[in-house]
Amino acid sequence: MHINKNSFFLFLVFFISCSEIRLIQEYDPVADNKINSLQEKTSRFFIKMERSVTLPENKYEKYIDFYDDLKSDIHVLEVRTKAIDKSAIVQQQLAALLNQVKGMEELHKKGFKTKEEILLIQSAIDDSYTVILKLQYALKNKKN
Amino acid sequence: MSKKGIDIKELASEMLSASKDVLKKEWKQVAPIAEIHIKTIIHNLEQIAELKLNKKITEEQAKLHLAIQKESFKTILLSFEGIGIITAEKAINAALNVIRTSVNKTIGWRLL
Repeated sequence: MHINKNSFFLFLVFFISCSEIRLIQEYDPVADNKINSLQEKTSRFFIKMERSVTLPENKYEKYIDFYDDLKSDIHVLEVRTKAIDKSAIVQQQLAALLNQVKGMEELHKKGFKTKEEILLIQSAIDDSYTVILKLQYALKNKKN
Repeated sequence: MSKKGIDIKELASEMLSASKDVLKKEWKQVAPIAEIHIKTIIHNLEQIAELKLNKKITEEQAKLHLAIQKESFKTILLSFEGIGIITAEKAINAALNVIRTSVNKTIGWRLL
């Protein structure tokens, strides 16, 4: 196939002038801050639960507001992220985090009997926050 | 170590292999950190099996714990996939910059 030199040059100009290629969403500082505050909120919960897992003040009924807040915060974040182009990965991460919180709530409803249970959940949720924040950090440093 | 039907070593190797399949190109870059996270999850799976065997949790509770660990594994894979995409994006844009600079230099003024 014969390609005219001028056409090729024009194509090249068009291709390169498309500023930058974007394969993944841009960094969203609001989401990053929100994830950090969710992580803090969850951490405080784990510290309280670890201290005295079986005490009456740590019963599920006392934490309904905590779960409602956490779930609604994650949901708000999910909705915000959906509005951002090429954000599928972060959306899926938030959905996974929400599932973890729902799972933890189910377990709390049944009643925690040992500290080990709390540590197991904390380890999994902490790991999720760590890698979610790791991706946020990478998005933030994309331009460097 | 085997916990009544759960071969942890085999499970670890299967998880690592599944991660490699998903991450493909990104694997070399993320392998050391991914392995640490996967080892933590495997340790947690052992703990769940132990709690269940010692009747400290019911089967239903064990399943809920497993689901929480599974979601953690998912977020780990997603993060590394994202980091790999960022790396690819950086490489493409760096290459485009080289072409852009070269074209501008060749024609003597800033066309692009």
